[in-house]
Amino acid sequence: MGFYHFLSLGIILFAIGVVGFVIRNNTIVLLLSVELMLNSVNLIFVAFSRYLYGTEGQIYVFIIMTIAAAEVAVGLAIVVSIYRLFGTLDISKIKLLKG
Amino acid sequence: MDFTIPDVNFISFAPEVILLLFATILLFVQSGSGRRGVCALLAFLALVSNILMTPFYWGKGIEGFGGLIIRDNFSIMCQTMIIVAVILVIVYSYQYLVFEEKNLGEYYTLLLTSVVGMNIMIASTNLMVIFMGMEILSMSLYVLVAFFKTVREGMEASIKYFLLGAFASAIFLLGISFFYGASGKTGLDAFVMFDATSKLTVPFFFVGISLIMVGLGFKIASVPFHMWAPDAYEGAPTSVASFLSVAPKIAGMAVIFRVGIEMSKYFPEVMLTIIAFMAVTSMIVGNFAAMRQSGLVRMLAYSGIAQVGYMMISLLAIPQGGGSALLFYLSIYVLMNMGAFGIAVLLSKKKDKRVQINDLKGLAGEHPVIAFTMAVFMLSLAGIPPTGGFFAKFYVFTHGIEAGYLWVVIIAVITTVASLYYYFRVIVFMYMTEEEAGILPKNIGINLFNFALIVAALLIIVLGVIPGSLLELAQQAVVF
Repeated sequence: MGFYHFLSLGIILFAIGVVGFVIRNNTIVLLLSVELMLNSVNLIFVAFSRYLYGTEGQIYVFIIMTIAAAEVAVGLAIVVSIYRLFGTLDISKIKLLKG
Repeated sequence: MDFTIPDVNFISFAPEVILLLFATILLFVQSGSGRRGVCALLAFLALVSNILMTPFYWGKGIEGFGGLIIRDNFSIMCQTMIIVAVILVIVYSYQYLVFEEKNLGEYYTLLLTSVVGMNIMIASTNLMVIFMGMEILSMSLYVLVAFFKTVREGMEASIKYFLLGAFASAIFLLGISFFYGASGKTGLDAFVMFDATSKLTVPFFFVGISLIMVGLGFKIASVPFHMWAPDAYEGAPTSVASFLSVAPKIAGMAVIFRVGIEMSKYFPEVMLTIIAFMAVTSMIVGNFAAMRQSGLVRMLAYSGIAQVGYMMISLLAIPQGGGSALLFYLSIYVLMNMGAFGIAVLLSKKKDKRVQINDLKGLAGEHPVIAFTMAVFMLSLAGIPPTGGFFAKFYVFTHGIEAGYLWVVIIAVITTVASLYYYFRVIVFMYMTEEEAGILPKNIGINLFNFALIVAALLIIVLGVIPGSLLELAQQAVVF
């Protein structure tokens, strides 16, 4: 288990997040995909800082986790309002705005 | 590795502290009748106090938090533009939010916190701090777009803007992590120590920069990352849309400019290829998509995408002094785009009604002054002399030619000619058609709103005739 294992794991997880974001339609799943992407970036930061540089990168992880939590709070609030208004979470069925 | 406590220079952060103080006070303003003026006044006071502080900071280059916050002339000038934009937004909101008495304090709180986010973004050269500022800005804007909870279009715009914005910030963050992996730092000054002895290879670094540019491209709504913009602007409350079309673009362009300065010293070709691609596609897609729109806000959204393309030409010429052209263009853009959106706010009477270009029919007959200001904004956006928009475009194009990007400038000129079609269509609708009575009441008299529009229009004309002083300021601002 070396540096490149962790790095590739992070990149693969990020790719899974991107693919999930592109192919899924449920709003909650889209939120989860974004969370997966943010956390895989955390993993990449930790890998870089553990194997190459000092502890700086591990401190960034805390910042990113805080921001991710705040983002989910805003996102879930919007999702709840969306469900109340439209009665569905399927993003492909929410298309009042053309384009 | 020895640990030193960084010097927290409070003075460097005082404007943001004032904004946050007022934002907190606004949260405690209870909703009710008569609170509309109180909220607007408090937010206005916060912004005016910020503007009054700028002469003190100008030319001093005050640093704080061990160099994480830098108030150089460039950041002061960008921040002033944003504050001018927000003051206009407050004037619009005061008029526009008459039918919404609830949660007004929160509306202005979110406006102020988003300004704090943009100030942080502009005033930093550390990518992690820039990311923090970007998130503060974005999260305030997600909620502002969703401000009318019961309007379906608004909520749809909000969820689209939120999902794509969160996706973009994740990509931006991946870019930072690659940048960190290549250099061991997140500050943009990491370029200085970058050489062959670095632990990782150059490709890592290029991937990082490209991903960072993708994230910023989303924020400034440049093609190919523009698809959220028309939907978000159309669905959002019109006063918020006006804010959305100006302020985040200034912040994003400022960050791209800071990245570009460093990149042009070490790896110019990578950065210039990305910027040239984004500029050309933005101009083409923005202008030609704007022609097909019937909604006023949607048309303005695509025109804003095209304007971003023109601004990016100045970034191609950073070593030749393109920064001053960028600042000049941005300052004119604030006035003309906010003004054009102001007309849209004026015309949108109900909160779920979308303004069409048809609604402008016969405006000149009943409201000659308002029609005149709209004509000035449109002429300026199209780049017709003697408005400021002409000089801004001219200055940007000459810089582009100086930098050797003649082909980009030729495309820009062609698309500018094409853009005349949809800008002039608005003027023709206002002046050449008479039949329909406008949706505005007969007599609106002189109020703050009209006054702001007239001042903006006059400023555009004045800056077009005598651009010297603003240009001088812009040139002072990009000397580091």
